[in-house]
Amino acid sequence: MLNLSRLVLLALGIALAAPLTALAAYPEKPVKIIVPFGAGGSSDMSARLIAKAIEKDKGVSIAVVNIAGGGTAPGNLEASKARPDGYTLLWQHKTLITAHHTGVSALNWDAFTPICNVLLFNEVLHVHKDNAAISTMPALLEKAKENPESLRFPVQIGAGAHFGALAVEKAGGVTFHIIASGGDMDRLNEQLGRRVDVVFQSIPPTLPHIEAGTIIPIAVGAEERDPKLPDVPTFRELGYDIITTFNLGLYGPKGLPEDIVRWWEEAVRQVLADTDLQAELAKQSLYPAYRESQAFAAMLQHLDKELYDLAKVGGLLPQ
Amino acid sequence: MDILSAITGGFALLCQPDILLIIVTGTAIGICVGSIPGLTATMAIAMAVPVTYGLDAMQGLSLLISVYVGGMTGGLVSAVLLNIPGTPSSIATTYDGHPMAAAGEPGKALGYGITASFLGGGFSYLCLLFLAPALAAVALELSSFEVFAIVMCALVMIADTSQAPLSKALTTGLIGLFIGCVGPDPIMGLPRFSFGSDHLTSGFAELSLLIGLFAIPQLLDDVGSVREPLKTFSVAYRHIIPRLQEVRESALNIIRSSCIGTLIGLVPGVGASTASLLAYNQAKLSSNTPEKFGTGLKDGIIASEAANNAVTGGAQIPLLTLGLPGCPAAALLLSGLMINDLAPGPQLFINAPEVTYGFMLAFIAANIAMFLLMLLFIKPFAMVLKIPKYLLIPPILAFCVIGAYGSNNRFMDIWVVFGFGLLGYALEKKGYPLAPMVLGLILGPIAEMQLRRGLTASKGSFMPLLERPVCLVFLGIAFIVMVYPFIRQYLKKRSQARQAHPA
Repeated sequence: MLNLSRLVLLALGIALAAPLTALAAYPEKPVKIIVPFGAGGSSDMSARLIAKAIEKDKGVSIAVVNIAGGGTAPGNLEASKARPDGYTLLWQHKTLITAHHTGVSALNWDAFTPICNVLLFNEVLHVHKDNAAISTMPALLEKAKENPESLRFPVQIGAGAHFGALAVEKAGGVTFHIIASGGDMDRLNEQLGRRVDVVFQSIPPTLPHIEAGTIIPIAVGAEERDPKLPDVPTFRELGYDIITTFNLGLYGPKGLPEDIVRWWEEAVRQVLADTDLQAELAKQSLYPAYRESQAFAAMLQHLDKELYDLAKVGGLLPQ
Repeated sequence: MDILSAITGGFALLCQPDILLIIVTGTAIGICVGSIPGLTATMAIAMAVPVTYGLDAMQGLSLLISVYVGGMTGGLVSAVLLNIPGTPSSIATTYDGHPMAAAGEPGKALGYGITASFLGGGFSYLCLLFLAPALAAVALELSSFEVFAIVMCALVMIADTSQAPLSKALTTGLIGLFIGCVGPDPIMGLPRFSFGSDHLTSGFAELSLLIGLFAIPQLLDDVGSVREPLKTFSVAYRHIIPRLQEVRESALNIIRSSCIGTLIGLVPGVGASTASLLAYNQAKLSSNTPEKFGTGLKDGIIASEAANNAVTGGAQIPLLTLGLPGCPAAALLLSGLMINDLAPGPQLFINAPEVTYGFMLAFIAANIAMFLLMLLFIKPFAMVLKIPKYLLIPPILAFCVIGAYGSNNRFMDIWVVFGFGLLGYALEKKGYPLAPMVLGLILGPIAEMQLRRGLTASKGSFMPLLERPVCLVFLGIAFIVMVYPFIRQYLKKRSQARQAHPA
């Protein structure tokens, strides 16, 4: 009898203590970060670099898991369905929102708990050297006004670069001939093959061609000049309100406890201060852009409205 | 710096004991991973990328390259021995490789495959070394319409009637095309035929479909014959290494297939599976005995393996000269270069000539290592066939499931393996060939994507297909490939009729 009551007490004790220790000891098992992009690209590499740094810093085990394809919808869905216990997170950029506004993904950013923004990378608008006559914004817009829908602008329909093209159209009051030509590298291929006129692209693959003089940069869609292209102005400097920056951040399933959000804010802020990591990231034109949970949510809310408006103008909203 | 001194510099970088050790080890790892059904060369490189963080540029790149070259060749082992292509690029190797192995010559079949891989790979690496800028310029000229026309040359092979009646081949071919349509459409990204299910919005994973259609029917057949005594065969070395005479006989085939592979490698987004299927069919078209293809002909193995290994060299040309990766494996090599601050492009040859040529020479070194290691591994690999089937089937099935899940971490992909496995088994038992289905589901989406991209550029006009000379040439070849089997059948009937009623 004594044994039994002891056993009950013990069990009760464990049951009561369990949630407390769980909170105190987070994380007590490996954390899964879902990357909804394929292995090898900068969105994937960046997640791996950050995860590795946090692993070293915090002594926690992190598994970066790629769930690619389907315009990121399957990866987003998987993360949103997970229990909000801090053991499944999502690594995403503005595709989370654009995929929603084009009808590819049912979930928008507000279906998640924004934890913090971590990094950013920029895009540059460029033309081929044979198109040097339109390598400034005024010349480009004038040509586009003369012949609406004639300048060929390759994009991945509904993805970041398409929204970039729409932003230029809106700011300049012009229309381009939008061509579906796939991802970042496909667009570079089209530009080098002289089958398109003006391209929005991430910076690393363009650098060697800018250096060789094959490609002429027009402007960067960022708030500040990109350190890799110090001589290239931003659109704002030129008087056009065009921002196309990709902000990479961490998201948790909806209802993620406050203290777990704090844990990750802290962990990310600490590793971003590491100069070695900064150098490693800068090699791929990735820069720290830390924003804590609330500021991140405010940024997303603003971005959401901006992208919705562009999708509406561009006829991308799902019917 | 002139090219010769750059090559010498690259050679000096390569000839370090640590680099050579890495190349031999990496190649061996690649071969082993590639030979396991369900695990691919791309997966092997993806696993090797994090390891390179701790290595210097030449060490890291040598590791990635050797794993890639080994993995590409490893795929032929399971294609030949088990009739399960280890990677999608060795699909065409199963057509003749397995029949030859089943006829008691597994060592010989592997020997042809290894030799062809070595020669095809070597050919493409020489092109990489000496013709890279010129070939890259050619690749840049190809628009979506040209790529579409090239892919059509391979896609029309679904009408090949040598394996089964036309009606049955077309039926499975159309099923394959339809399966390829499930998932996001290639332009808008909106899901098609998903029936509102979240599991279908990103379509069926190509690897899961392949494992399902090849591995499951084969394993089910094996289960049925599990009590049959094992066949005896010889793997003596004199049977493995092809005689010089045999290589000379196939010289034209080797050169043609290597050219096809190198050229397809140049074109972004087409891939090694297309190259090996195209080369296989070209070998068949120009053969005196096309009807014997599929029964264990050495030229079938040689065409497929020379072409898929030649893709590895071709794909490096746009990568190094322009920074454009043409396939997932090249994309991983690109990240390997970027980690080491080497931005591929026109400046790479000027900024870092030694590492650039070291990179190319590492392919050649890995190719030689692959050839020697494969000769060493052939006997143990062939011994797999001596393992009783009740011991062999469970681990193969396990690897198939792991590979299907591991490529994208979705449980759905495992159901795809079993679902399509059963479908494939049923179709095969009813005499419906699976080859056209696989062609349809792999090539259909590529063809559709390229055509529709082209149409957005031409504002909906199909005229570029008829106006561009390269398109016309390839569509012409596609047409010939399509009608040739019928002409052959007609000629055969006529000559039989003549023999029956001599005039």
